[in-house]
Amino acid sequence: MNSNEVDWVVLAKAGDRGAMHELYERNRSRIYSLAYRYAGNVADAEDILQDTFIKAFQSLQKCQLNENSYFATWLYRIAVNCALDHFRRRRHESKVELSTKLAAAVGNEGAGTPESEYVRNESARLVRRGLERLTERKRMVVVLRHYQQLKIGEIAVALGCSQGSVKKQLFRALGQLKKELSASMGG
Amino acid sequence: MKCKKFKDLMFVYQDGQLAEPEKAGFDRHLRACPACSARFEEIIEIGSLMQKAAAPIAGVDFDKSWLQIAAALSPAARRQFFWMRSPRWLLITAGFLAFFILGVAFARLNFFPARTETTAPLDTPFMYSTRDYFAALQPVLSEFSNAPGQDGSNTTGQVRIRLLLGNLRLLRLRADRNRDSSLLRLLDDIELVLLEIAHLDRSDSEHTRLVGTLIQEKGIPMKMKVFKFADRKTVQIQGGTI
Repeated sequence: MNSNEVDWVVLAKAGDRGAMHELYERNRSRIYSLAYRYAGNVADAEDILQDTFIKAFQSLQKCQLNENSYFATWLYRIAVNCALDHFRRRRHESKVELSTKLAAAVGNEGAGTPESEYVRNESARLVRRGLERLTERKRMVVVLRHYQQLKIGEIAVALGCSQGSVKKQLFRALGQLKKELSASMGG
Repeated sequence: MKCKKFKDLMFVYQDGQLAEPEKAGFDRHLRACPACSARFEEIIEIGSLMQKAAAPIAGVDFDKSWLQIAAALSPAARRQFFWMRSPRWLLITAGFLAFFILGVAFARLNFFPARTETTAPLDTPFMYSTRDYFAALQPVLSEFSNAPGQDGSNTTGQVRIRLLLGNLRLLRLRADRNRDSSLLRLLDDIELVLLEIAHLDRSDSEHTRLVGTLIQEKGIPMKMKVFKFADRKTVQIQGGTI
């Protein structure tokens, strides 16, 4: 962690609103990206983004950083919990609606040539279907790994579990995804 | 390198976090083992497919979000009711406690009605209290428990036994209403002994000895002493009242 970020965190702990804004500016994109990939729509992602930063700033005193830890990793942990909570609250929503939202997050948007767009849409559909069938936690591991590009150690910190557990969940999730994709392509 | 170890290092290798000697060993294993090589390729392939399939992230007004975060962090917004600031465990404990208290109150009202003095219908000479009853029972029991084997000398009349048995039913009714299980057990034992006495052949010394043993085994005299401590018509013992 660079000393500059440590300084911002120290100031934010003291209640400096400017420092909080700086930390928000530095981390908002990655947290929003995680929230969007996980929740699947702008409204929910925005809620998760706001919840994450509100909770983070309210519990900033618990944030113990050193040269080997990053504010972003600590923030990821809060974001993961917010996203999982959000998902649990929204569980009553219909499968169809969730599926539509996930479609927006995984693919169906963007521009390109008709052929590339078709290929991407088809791939997106298959990936989306695979992701839908994963458990919340496995889906979170996959999102953190493949969309947020986090390393195994960082995912373990974000999820509050061991690296071994992350690897197991990732293997299982990817295995399940592969099965779904093979079945779809075969059919 | 074993396949299991390779599998464990696969993501670390992908992250580029393996030290040089381990990385070289990993590469060698990858070339030598088709199964691990295929597995690793799958991981790369799925990751790549997900990247390709990913749509651009829809934009959001970050400044507007910040305003809402700042508003939520403002002192005015933080001035909440105390229970909203309390740790979750405190709320959960309070909830359980309230549920428990309400449950106990409900159970008491519905399953344990207020105890009232029973006004027993009397048609025969009746021992109104447990104390009176035990006082009458005492000589009958001591005749058998203190001097077992003295057959032929007992003065226990059949009428007296029947009276005690008759009164026992009413005492049991009271104990039952008060849900006094310890007294109910004692009354059961007394009834058993009284029935034995009622059917006793005075010439059978062995039977008399057995009745004495039964009285001692059940510990009836000792239990009765406990009940006799209270010098009232309503005797309270071991949480029960009669």
